[in-house]
Amino acid sequence: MSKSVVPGDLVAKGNYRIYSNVIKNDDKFYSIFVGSAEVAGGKVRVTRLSGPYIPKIGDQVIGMITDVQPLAATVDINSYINGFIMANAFYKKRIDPSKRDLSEKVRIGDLLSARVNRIERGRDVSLTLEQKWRVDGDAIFYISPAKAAYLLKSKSNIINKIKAYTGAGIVMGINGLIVAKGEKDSIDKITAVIKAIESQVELYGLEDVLKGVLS
Amino acid sequence: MMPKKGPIISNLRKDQILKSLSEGRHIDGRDLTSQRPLEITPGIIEKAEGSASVKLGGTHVIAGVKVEVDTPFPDTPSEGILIVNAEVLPTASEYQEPGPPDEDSIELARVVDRGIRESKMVDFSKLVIEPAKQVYTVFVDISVLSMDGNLFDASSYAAVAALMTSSFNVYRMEGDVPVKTEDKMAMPLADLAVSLTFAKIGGSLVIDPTWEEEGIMDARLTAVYDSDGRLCAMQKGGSGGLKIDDVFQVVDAGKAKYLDIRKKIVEAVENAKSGN
Repeated sequence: MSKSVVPGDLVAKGNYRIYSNVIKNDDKFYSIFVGSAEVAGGKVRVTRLSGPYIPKIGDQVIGMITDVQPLAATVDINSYINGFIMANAFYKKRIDPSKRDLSEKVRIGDLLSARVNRIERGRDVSLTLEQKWRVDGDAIFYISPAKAAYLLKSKSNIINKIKAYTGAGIVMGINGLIVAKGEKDSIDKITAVIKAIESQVELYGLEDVLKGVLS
Repeated sequence: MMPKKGPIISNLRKDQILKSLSEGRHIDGRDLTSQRPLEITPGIIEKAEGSASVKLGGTHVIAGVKVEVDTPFPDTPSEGILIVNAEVLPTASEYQEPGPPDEDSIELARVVDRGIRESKMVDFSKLVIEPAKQVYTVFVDISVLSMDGNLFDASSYAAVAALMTSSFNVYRMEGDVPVKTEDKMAMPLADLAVSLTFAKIGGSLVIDPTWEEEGIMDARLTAVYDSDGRLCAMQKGGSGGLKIDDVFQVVDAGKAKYLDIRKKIVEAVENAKSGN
C-alpha cells in the first residue's frame, strides 16, 4: 500500500535501508519529492509523480537529435540535461570527420533509441545506440517519466497488454516518449490509452485504470 | 551550426501534425477554424488599476494596468500616453531564459500596442490633465506565465480586458504641479480591439496555432479588428511567405470569428464588474 507524500513528509520511522528519494534524519525518513511512498521489505521508497526525467546509467531512452556536429550528435532526452552520441557509434567504427559527414546518417528532428552510458556532473549525458536504433512510427506521445518508469517496470507486463489491445507497434523510453506504429484505428486506441494514463494523477491505481480501458 | 532558438519538433511529430491538418483537424482534435478554450478573468490584481488573466488552451497570460502622470510627447501635446511591455517569464517554457526581454517579447508588446492604438480603443484625448504640460500615462504590463502558442491573441485579450476594467485616481493641476485627488475615473474607451492569429502550415491556414504548430509553421499572420469588424492592424511573422490569397483568406476568416471573441471579452468584463 502506498501513500501520497510531499517534500518533508515523514515516510517511515525505524531501521530501514534507504532505497530512493528519501532523506534520513536519525531513524526518520522524509520524502524529498512529491510522489507515492512505499514501505515494504525493509525498504523505503518514494516514486516521483512529476518532474523531468533524471538519467540513470543503463536506462533505455528515446531521444531526438537537436544538433549534428562532425564528431557527435546532441540528443534531447526529455530531461534537464542533453545527451550526446559520438559519430563513431553510428558507423560502428572509428571515422575520419574530415572525410565523413554525420548528417548523412542522421538529421535534426530524427528519433533514436539509446541507452545511458555515462553521467558526469556538468557535462551532457553520454549515450550508446541500441542495436535497432532508428525509431520510426506514425505517432509520438509524451507521458510523465515517472509513469513511463512505472509502466516499464510493471510486473504484469502492461506494455504488452497495451500492444495487444491497440494492435500498434510500440517503442517506449523510460524518459516518457512513446512512439506508435499502426493503422488509424490502432493510433486512435493508443491515443485513448495515453489519455487514460495522463488522467490518473497517482501511480497507485494506474494499472487498475488501464485494465479498465484495455478490457 | 548555430543552435536553433525555440522548440525543435521531431520529424515524426511534424508528419503527424501535417497529416492531421490535411484531414482538417488540429493535432489536439479541434477543427481548423476553432480556437482552444478561452477563459478570461478580469480583476485578478488588487493593487493594479486594472488587470486580467487569460487562459487560451495551455497558454496563460496576465496583464496589469498602472496609470501615472507625465509630460506629453511634443508631437501629441493633447493626448495621453500608452506604453505596453511584455515579458515571457523563465517558468513559462523550458526554452525561455532569464534576462531582459528578447526580440520575440518586444514584438509581442509592439503587436498588442499597435492593435490597441490603431483600433482607437483608448480615447487618448480624455487622458489629458493640462495640454502640453501633464497627461496620464497608461502602462500595460503583460507577463506570460505559460507558453503553449499564440501569445499574440492571449496577450491582446488580457490587455484589452485589463483596460476595460481599469479605473484610476484623477489628478488636478495646482500651479504647475499635478495633485492626486480621491476621485476615480474609468479608462476612457471608444472601441474594442480583437486580435486573431493564423499560421500557415504546409498548405493549411489555421487559427490559434499551438506551441508545436508554431514550431513547424511557415508563416504567421495576426489581424486585429475593431468593433465594426474593420481591419485595423496586421503583423506577419515567420520566415516563409504568404500569397495575397492567403492574406484575404485570413482577413475573411478573422471577420467571421471576431464577434465571438468580442462577446466573450465583453461578457467576462461585465461579469467581473457586476461581481459574478
